[in-house]
Amino acid sequence: MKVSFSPKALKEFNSFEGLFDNPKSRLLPTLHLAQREFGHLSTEVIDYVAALLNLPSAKVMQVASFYTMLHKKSVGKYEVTICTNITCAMMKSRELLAHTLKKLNVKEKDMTQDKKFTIRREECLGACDKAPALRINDTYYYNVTPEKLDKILESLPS
Amino acid sequence: MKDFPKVLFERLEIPNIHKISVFQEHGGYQMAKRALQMAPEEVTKIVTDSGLRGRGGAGFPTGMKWSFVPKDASKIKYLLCNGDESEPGTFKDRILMEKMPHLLLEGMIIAAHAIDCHRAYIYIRGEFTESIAALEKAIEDCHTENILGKNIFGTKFNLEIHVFKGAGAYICGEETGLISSLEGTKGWPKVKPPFPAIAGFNRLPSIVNNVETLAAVPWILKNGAQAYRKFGTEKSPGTKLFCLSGPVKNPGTYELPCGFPLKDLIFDIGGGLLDDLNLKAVIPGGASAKILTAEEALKTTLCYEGCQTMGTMLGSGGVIVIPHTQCMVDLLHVVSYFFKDESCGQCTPCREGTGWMHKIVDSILHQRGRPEDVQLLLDISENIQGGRTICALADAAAWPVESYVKKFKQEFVDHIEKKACNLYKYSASL
Repeated sequence: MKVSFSPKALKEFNSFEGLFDNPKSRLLPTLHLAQREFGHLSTEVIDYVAALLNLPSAKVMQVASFYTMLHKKSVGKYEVTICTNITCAMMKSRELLAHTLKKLNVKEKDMTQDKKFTIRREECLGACDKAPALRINDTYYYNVTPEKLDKILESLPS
Repeated sequence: MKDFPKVLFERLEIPNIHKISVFQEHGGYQMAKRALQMAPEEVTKIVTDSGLRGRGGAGFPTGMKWSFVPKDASKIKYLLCNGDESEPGTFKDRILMEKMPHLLLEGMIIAAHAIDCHRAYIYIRGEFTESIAALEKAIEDCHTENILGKNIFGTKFNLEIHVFKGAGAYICGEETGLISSLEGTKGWPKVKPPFPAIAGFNRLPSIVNNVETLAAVPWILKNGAQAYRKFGTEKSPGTKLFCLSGPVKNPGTYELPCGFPLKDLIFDIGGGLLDDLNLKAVIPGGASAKILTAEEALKTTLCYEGCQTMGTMLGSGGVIVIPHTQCMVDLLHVVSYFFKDESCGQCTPCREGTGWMHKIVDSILHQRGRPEDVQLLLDISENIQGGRTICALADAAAWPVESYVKKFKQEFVDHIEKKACNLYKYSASL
C-alpha cells in the first residue's frame, strides 16, 4: 500500500529544510513526523521517507532500526515504557513490569489483543528521585505501584 | 539545613520563571546583552578564569574548549547543547530545561557569541517531551522579543537556536555520537582527533556543551570568575547539581559547592536511608562510575579530584544510594544489561564484551555460574577498557563490572558456590 503525508505533515516536512545546512540532517525529524503520521515505520513508510529525502531505503532503515523510540512494527494505542534501570529496579520496577505483563496477559513489546497496550522496559527516564517511573505515550508517571498502575491503565479510554 | 550558594538554582523558586516576562523581570538576558557588547575573547577569558568544567561527565575545562575553535571568520561554527541526559541516576538537565529554559538560552547566546556561532542546536533526548516543549516555546518567545534571530538587541549579532529531538539512544549523549545523530545517521561515535572543535557537525568547528555547563555561564559573567571560584575547590571551582536517588528520605536534585562531603548529602540533605535500611554502597556519578563501599563513601568529597582519590569519578553527579538489602549480583545484572543494550555495535571489544559480561552475570545470578566466572569477568572488563574503542562506553561498561566484582566478591562467590544468596529474592526473570 502506498503511503503519503497529509498536506499538514507535508508542510511541516518542508519546514525542516530551513533548519539545517546539510539536508541529510532532516532524516531523524522526518522519521519522527512519519511515525506520528502513520503510527509506525512500515516498509512502505521507510520507502516513502527514502524517496522524500532522496536516500536509499536501506540507509533509512538502518537509522530507523538504531533508535528505540522508532517503531518498526505497530504498537498499541498506549505505549507503556517502564524504567528498569538501577534506581527504579531497586524500587521494584521489575516487579511492576512483570505484574503488568501478567495482568494484561501479553508479552513484552507485543500488543494486547484489543490493540490498546504495548508494554516494554525502558532505560533510565531521568526521574530517579520519583522511582519507579514510567511513561505512557508522552506522559510521565511517578512513584508507581502495581495497584496505582492498574488504576491508571483502567482509566484510559479504549 | 544550611543555605548553600546558588548559581544555577538562584531563581528556580520564583513562580513562572519559565516565562520570558518573569525571567526578564528578574534580570534575565541582561548578561546576554552585556556579552554582545564585549569582545568574544573577553567572554571566553572570563569563563576560562572561572575554572568552569564540563558538567556532562568528563569535566573538561569549558573556556579552554571554546578557545580551540578556529578564529577563521569565513567558517561556519556550531554550538551544540547536549541535553541527551541519559546516564542512569541523572536527572538535573531535565529540571533546568523544564523550569529554566531561558537560563539555558541565555547561556547559549553568550557561548555562541564567544565562538562566533550563528546557528546552534539543542539535542534533547526524545523521551523528554516537557523539556522539548519548554524550549520550543522559550525560543519562540525570544524571537518575538528580538532576543534570538537577526540583529539581537539591536546589535549586528544573529543567532538561530533549534531544538533537535533524539530518538532513544544512550550513545547520542557522547559528543561525536550526538553529532552523527544530528547528521542523519546512526548515533555512532567518531574517531578523535579531529576533535569537534576543529571538525564537528558537518565537519565544521563545533562546540558541544552540557546543559548544566551552559546554564552556569550567565552567573559567571554577572559576578565574575573570582566570585565563582569562591565556591568549590581549587581544581573543581563552583557549584554542581547532584541528583540523589535510591531509598533515602529526601531524594531530589540539589545544588551544592563542589567538594561537598558525600556523607552529608546522603545523611543531612537526603535525610538518610528509609527506615531499617543501612548504607551498603554508593554510586557517586551515574551508572558508569565505579561503586564505593559504605566505608569509602563516608570519606568521599564530591569534586573531580575527591572522587578520583577514591578511584571513581564525579561523572554526571548522579548519586545512587544502595541499601544493605540489595544483592550486588542482581544490581550488576541490571547495569550490565544496560550497557549491553546501549553499545552502538561499532567496536568489537565493546559490542562483544558488554554482551559476554552480561551473559556471565546472568548465569551467576541464575544458578549457572562456574568458579572461573569471577576471574573471567575481571579479565573481560580489563580487556575492553583503556582506549581500545572509539568512545568511552566500553570503559563505562567495564568499570561497574570491575568494581562490583572486586569490592563485593564474596557475593559473587556465594552465588556460584551456594547457588543462592539471601539477598536475592527477586525471581521474575527479566
